[in-house]
Amino acid sequence: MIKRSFFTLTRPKLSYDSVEQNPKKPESINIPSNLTLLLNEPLDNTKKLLIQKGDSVEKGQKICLYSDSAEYVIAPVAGTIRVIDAYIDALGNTSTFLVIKNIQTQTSDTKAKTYDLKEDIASADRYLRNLPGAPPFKKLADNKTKINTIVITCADADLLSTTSQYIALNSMDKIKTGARILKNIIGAVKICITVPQDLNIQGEFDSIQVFRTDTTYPSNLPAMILKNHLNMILPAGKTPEDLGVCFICAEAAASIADAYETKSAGAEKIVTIIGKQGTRYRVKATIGTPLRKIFDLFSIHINDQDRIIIGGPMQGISTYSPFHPVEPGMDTVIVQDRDEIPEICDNACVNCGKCVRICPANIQANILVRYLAADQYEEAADKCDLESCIECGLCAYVCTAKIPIYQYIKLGKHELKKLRAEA
Amino acid sequence: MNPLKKLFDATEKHFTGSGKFSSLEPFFDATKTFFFLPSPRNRHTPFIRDHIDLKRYMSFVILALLPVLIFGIYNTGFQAGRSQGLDYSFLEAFLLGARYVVPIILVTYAVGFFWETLFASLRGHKISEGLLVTGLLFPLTLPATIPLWQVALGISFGVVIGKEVFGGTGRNFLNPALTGRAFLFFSYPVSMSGDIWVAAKNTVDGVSGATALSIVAPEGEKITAALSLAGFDLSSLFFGLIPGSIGETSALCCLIGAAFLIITKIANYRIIIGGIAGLILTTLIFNLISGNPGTWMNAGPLYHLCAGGFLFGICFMATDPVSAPGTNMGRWIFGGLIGCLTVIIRVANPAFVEGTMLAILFMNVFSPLLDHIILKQTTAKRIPNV
Repeated sequence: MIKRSFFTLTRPKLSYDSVEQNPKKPESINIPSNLTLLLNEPLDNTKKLLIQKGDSVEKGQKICLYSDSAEYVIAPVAGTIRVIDAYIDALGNTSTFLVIKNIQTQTSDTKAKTYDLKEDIASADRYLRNLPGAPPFKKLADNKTKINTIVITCADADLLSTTSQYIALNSMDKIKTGARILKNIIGAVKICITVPQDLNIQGEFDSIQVFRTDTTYPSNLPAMILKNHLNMILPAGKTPEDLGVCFICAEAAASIADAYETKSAGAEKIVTIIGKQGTRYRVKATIGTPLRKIFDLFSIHINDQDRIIIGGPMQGISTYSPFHPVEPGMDTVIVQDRDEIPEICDNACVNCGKCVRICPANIQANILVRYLAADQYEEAADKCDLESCIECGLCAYVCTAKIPIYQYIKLGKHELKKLRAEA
Repeated sequence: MNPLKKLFDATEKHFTGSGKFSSLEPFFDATKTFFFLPSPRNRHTPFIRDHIDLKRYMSFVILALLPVLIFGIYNTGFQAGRSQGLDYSFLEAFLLGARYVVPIILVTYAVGFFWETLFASLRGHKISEGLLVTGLLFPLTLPATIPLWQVALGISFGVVIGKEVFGGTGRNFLNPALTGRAFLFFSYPVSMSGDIWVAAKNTVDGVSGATALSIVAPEGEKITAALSLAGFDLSSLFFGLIPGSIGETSALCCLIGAAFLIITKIANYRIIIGGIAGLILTTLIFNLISGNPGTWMNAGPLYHLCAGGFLFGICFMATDPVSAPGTNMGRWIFGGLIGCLTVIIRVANPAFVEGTMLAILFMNVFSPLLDHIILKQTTAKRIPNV
């Protein structure tokens, strides 16, 4: 709990959590009998599906929906496909989910399918998109700008999460190997690594440049690292990749090292779980494991109307189902008790200006939220720098009128993208 | 356990769910959260949040108004005594003043909360916190001798027409307290005019009871001389032991409140400083062009600053964030124009001796336009994406 006095002369300061001294190994969880995989492509009745219910898949097999699909998932276990159905995410995008029935006899050591992996971006994109940590190979393969700099992030981007720090403490050598492989794949000139100030990491970094990041939120966000350590300002509506900088999390770098060593794709993701009382657990689960199984492991009881947040408290999105699977990019899961979740708030903005004062991107958030509430997304982008938002969520945290400004912004950006795609 | 908390916990079941008085739930909730913080844990869509909410925010303004209020009560008693030729001690004056002021405040809150509860119940919404401040600001702008039914009428107009018909706190484009005052000002000019304490004929020091702003110097004399003859020298205007509306007389108390609001970042300093700068600049210009030394045109910036309700208005009314512009540049212009307009109305329009209220309301109407212009300017300056 963050304590603040009644009179507050300073802006609230939120600090990143640091990983405990001598952290325990994450709990392992058995591979469940059914695994759910999310595939970022909608079902299309006019095309012929490549896979059918009842098809059997190998561990490590690449699964595509159609012959011209750009998206794929990697089967984390050997088994049979039981369900193929449509899935709608929090922003209303349709995609597909698959349920794979696990062949019970296998353990996590069962050999996975090996690939013909070469050290180039096309080969990595062909097989390794779904590695734990979700390396952005798709973005890199499509990217038109040459990537000069790779930044490996050992500092977690959101509060409460310690996944990246844990991996940095325990697998630094793998991260370094992964970074070198990445450098060859991408052809980058410079490799950097972000390490939280208070994280004690021994060892040589050789040619890797180390950025010690501040413990105050939001200094670990990509846009802030660009600004503070690389002296670049992220222009509105651009991604770091457009500037030739690529951010890859520590876990992705470590799993790339593993993947190139074994020529196969790993599927075990480390997740930080925050229980209802704020207790922190760490678990190593196979991608596709329903969250329910993890909660059972730590005896976190989920009641009706409790809230499950995927991601940190500032930037996360809640899910409606305890059967939501572990995804490659899922670092943190928070469970909030239903007593802490009350009615919907429809206060109007009172123009107090706290959001403007705290915004690291200097956005006029008080006016922006008026445009967003009125669904005027184009105007919001033109007049109030909607696209300059670096998505830290501090505006919603400080809001006097309790307006979910950050959620408005996320929805606004999403809708704007849709509008532009239609135009 | 705190007995107050016990009381709330015991009665809560009647007001929530299927309790007997569940239609009064907004009222219960508003009373409870006035005494206790709502649960400090996360309550809304963002998963965690700072606990300073609208009610705390508003209570800061109430704290800032305390010096003004206490001095206003004392001054009311002091002036009442003086008009009868009596010189009360501090305590006597304070108690006498409280007999005038407290009923006005009670009526304001009672009538205001009646409307708030009515609208909140109709909308199925919580009682908005805005009335906490409006309900204290409004009485402070009134003369102490005003009939209570007029107070009730004024706050009703302010809350209903000034705020609720537009959707409640946050959606009003005029300051509700000033809207209510403007209504009374134009409807009942006699009780709102400057002659508050009709001086007893036997007063020795010749206090007329009129406010400083209605004074015009006789032919050939300077306004400042006429003012100090009437008991309005600069120091009494600054400290505030003069007749006038309850809260507006003491420039010092207003400045203390303003400093508190600026330090806690509740009020925007741009509006206050902009307003004072605008007022000083305009008075200087009038000083240069004016021919008649006997009018307020020639009073100079300090007299304009300390007399009347300008400081009260610019510190507590103009800084109402809802009806002020949302951009920083807009706030500078907003403040500056309030200062400028106040002086223009004071000196150029013989019908209104005091211009602050009208200037603020006028600029309230223009603040969306100011924001619009500022945003347009910023967008035009931006380097286009090629």
